[in-house]
Amino acid sequence: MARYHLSRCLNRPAYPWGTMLVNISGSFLLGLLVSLRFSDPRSEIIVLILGTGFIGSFTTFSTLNLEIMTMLRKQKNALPVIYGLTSLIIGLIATYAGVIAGKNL
Amino acid sequence: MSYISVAIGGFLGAVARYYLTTLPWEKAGNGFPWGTLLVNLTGCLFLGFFLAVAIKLLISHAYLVTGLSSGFTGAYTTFSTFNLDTLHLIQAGRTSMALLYVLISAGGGLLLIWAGDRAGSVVLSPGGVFPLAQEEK
Repeated sequence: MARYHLSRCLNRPAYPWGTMLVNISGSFLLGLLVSLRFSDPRSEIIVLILGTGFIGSFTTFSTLNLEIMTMLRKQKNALPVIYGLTSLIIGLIATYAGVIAGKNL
Repeated sequence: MSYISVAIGGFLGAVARYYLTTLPWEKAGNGFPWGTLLVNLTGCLFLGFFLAVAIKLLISHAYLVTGLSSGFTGAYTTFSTFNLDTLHLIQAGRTSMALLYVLISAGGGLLLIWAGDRAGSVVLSPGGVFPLAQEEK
């Protein structure tokens, strides 16, 4: 629901900012979540609910690919390539940043 | 109202993804994230096919289309776990496996969206298996 709302507010015909924001912020949050060290053994279930449940659903892989495909069909410029590559690279960097942040908290 | 259909679809998609990524093959494949790859690729194939068909057949059922595409498939596939898998492979020193994983996921995802879309068009075309589409044409 959070993803649907953000995408609906932010996606523009020319460039899907909403999906990009959702995917990159979600990648950061998941990296952060899995690297946090919890002392309470019950936290495993919380990580499962938040990580697999919320963040896993918040980010999306199918819409990303659908948007690239749609952009490839409509536009002849480099925008779909840029969108795909920046999503992949920034997503990975965001996950790494999340892991580093989580370890230092 | 569309938020409710997204919530229901999203719940089912997340449960389906959790079930498939915790099956034994995830552990068996020498560290390669088969489960995530499977959900992401099958999700792309389904989305391509479903949207191609839904645009023609379910145009009057917008909530159903949104619930299944944005809700179910959107939650079923995942970008954050994909990145976390890649990062884990890189940190384990398996750079070539990480690269392979990214290439199969991204390339395969695009290819399967396209294939799903094509399959949807074939199903709806005159002489296809969907009689409803033939009536409309």
